[in-house]
Amino acid sequence: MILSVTGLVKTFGAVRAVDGVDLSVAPGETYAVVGESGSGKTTLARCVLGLIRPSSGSVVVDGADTAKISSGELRLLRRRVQIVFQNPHASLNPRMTIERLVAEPMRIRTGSKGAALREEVVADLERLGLGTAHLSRYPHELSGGQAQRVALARALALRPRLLVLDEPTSALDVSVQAQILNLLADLRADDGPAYLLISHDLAVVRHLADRVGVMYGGRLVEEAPAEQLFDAPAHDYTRQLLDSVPGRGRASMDLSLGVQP
Amino acid sequence: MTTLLSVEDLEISIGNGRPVRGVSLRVGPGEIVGVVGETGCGKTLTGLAVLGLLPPGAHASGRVVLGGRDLLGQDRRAIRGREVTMVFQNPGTAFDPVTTIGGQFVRVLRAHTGCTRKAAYARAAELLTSVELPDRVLNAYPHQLSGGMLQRCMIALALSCEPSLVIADEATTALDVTVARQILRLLLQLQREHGFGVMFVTHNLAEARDICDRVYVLYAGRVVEEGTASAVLDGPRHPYTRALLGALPRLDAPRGRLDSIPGSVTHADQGCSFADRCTDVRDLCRTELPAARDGVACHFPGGAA
Amino acid sequence: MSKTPPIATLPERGVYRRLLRDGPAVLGFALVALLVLVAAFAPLLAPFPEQGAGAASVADRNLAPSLTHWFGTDAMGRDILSRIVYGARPALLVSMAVVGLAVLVGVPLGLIAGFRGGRLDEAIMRVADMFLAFPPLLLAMVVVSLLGPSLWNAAIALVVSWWPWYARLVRGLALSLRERPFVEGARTLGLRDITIMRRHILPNCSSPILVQATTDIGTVLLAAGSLAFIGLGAQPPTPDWGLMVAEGRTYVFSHWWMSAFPGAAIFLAVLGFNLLGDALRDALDPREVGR
Repeated sequence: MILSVTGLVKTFGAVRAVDGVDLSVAPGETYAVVGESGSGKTTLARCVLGLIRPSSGSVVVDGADTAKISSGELRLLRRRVQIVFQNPHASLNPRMTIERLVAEPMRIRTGSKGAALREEVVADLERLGLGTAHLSRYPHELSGGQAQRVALARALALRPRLLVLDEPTSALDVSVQAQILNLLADLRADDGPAYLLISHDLAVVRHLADRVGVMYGGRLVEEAPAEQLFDAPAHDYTRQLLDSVPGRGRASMDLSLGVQP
Repeated sequence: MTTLLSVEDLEISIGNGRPVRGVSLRVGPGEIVGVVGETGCGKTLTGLAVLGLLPPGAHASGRVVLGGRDLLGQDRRAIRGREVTMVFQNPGTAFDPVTTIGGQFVRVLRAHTGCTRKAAYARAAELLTSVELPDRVLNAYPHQLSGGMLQRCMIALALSCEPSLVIADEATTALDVTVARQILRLLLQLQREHGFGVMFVTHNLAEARDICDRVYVLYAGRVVEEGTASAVLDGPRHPYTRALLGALPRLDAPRGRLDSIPGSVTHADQGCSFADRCTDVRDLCRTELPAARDGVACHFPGGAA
Repeated sequence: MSKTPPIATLPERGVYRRLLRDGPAVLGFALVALLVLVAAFAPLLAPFPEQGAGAASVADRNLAPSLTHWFGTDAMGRDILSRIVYGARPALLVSMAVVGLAVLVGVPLGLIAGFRGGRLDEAIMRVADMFLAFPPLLLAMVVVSLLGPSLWNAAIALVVSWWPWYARLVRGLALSLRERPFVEGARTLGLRDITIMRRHILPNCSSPILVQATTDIGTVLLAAGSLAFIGLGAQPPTPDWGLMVAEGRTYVFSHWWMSAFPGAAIFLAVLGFNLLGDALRDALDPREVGR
């Protein structure tokens, strides 16, 4: 297992944002955490990334328990788990060029300098569909899709074992979303990292995930292989989520059900 | 067929840019009309032009006819909030944070109807009931309410003066899926009760399919396809609409590669703006702007060989 | 409530164009440029260079403004225009040094306080509050009584009371930047805090710091003048504007020019920096900070 989360609890004051979650992600697997705002999925992701320490329970990344190591070791462990955020422009330092943005993590992994480093950066960017013309640009000069590719390049430069994708396409247009989703599928096939996909968009989840955990009120209320979850949802909340996915026409609106506030 | 709103050949220029290049669309009384497209297609500007809320420096030409009157270039303050209202994307920032919901309803109601404070409160409570919120919401401040509740408040506020047209601009985009669904149902239900027309501006094709009677698909400032929601979204004829639907991940489709649209939006000065990204492009597409025929602005609709 | 147009430019873009478009900005820029030029070329510009530097000329005492002495002469017979021209040097030097040192002390402390938070933040900010609560004049008197009155001791006193403003400013910025995805992303790269602060936080604070510093140069210039005026700053025969105002004070009814012209110099210099600071604020648009 790349990631094993056991009995994870994170409280903020009296609020139990994550209230006892167990999940594990195997190498190369895509595990999707589905939930709405306030479900605790973002807090879960931040614990996995080592950005916050859990109140109790354990997060084991690549065999190392994040609770049992020093903050210095935790800092280095973080490099094995990277993240891609929802808003690509907010996740890139506006004062750095694309080249510097990708070179920063690249240098950490390879230790290269100068021309060699530049070559590595160019190679990675090309793999993600960006040319050398972008090297000297700043993030605001890129479209959303291009910026998200840079964010991906930056996250992948360390060759992480696990990539947390936090709503990676929800800020993008449909046509661009398709490009990024295809890219994510290609990278995975190409001996890439395992994905922990955080999303509320079930169509995206269906498209990418191998297993799905449905989160509600800080707990995983259902966990199943993707096919099974979408074909035969077991939990009421999962069914409600699936019923909310738009696109089945006016008849699906079923006004007779009424509207609960 | 009678017409509530008719936009004819609307063009909007901002500085050197021409983000809207001749949009014509029509909303009938009690009809829900989708205006769908991606970022930069001109859908939001079109909605704002109807309300007369274009950003400073924007210049609009063409005709915006509501209830028989051409509104463009006229002061629309008297109409805004009464005959036409808008539901915005982000309910969190559309409300004044230091006034209670009740206070904001009273302010709007009194400005438009000149009724007494007491009458305004009573009407506000009535409106909240219609969007299925309890009266106590009147005493709440915006930050005490969830996004879904605020969006209900905004819809209630939009309906306060019995408008004939409601413009909903990405009204569900900032909401969670289950909440978005409830808001859509609510909008549909209220529309049936009150019979107002809706201009439903969205990037979400799936939602448009669920709620709209007819849709207009916009690309690079022009309408590329129009028709009933099911005709356009189940049997798209314009290559852009087809590509867009192919790019959409779906619950009921097999996994696999999605069709992405290569390149990015460009406004062509000659020919069809979609030509550079179109898989069926011919020479004619690059030289001559396709006129709308039978609801499709394409020289070779349906990918005819 | 329309969507904001997708124009997210770096603040630096087109700054010069925007600066030149508005009148007060041009005036501010011109005044500051004039001050810098005058300070740089004082010996060439002053009609009586040696008097500007301090040499007395007893024969020409208390002369009213004339064609030879445009701004008149003082009680020691020195040409006031020359004194003012020479006075630009300490004025500019001291205020820039004070602001520079305050930035050097305040910015790192504010960065650490804002980014690290917790007890360290508490400690740094309480110390800063203490310095802010102390009346600057009183502080200056303490420093001066310890080290003796001079221009540079007055400068030290001003640095001591000025750095907390920068610590506060930067702490607030760091606090909000800390939560930004790009900073969280930097943390997942396993970078050291010091690297994150230097590479990711500080560059995104630079615009507001620059604006604040520009305005502060004017304010410090005024404060240094005040200290000189009450005898805690520059000492004779330094050609200091505040000191000149003080020296002319006793003759203000009979020989108005002795105080009026150096006073006007202070006014114009402070005005220049304030206008320039405001213009920079508008041109760099604080809403864009950290974008």
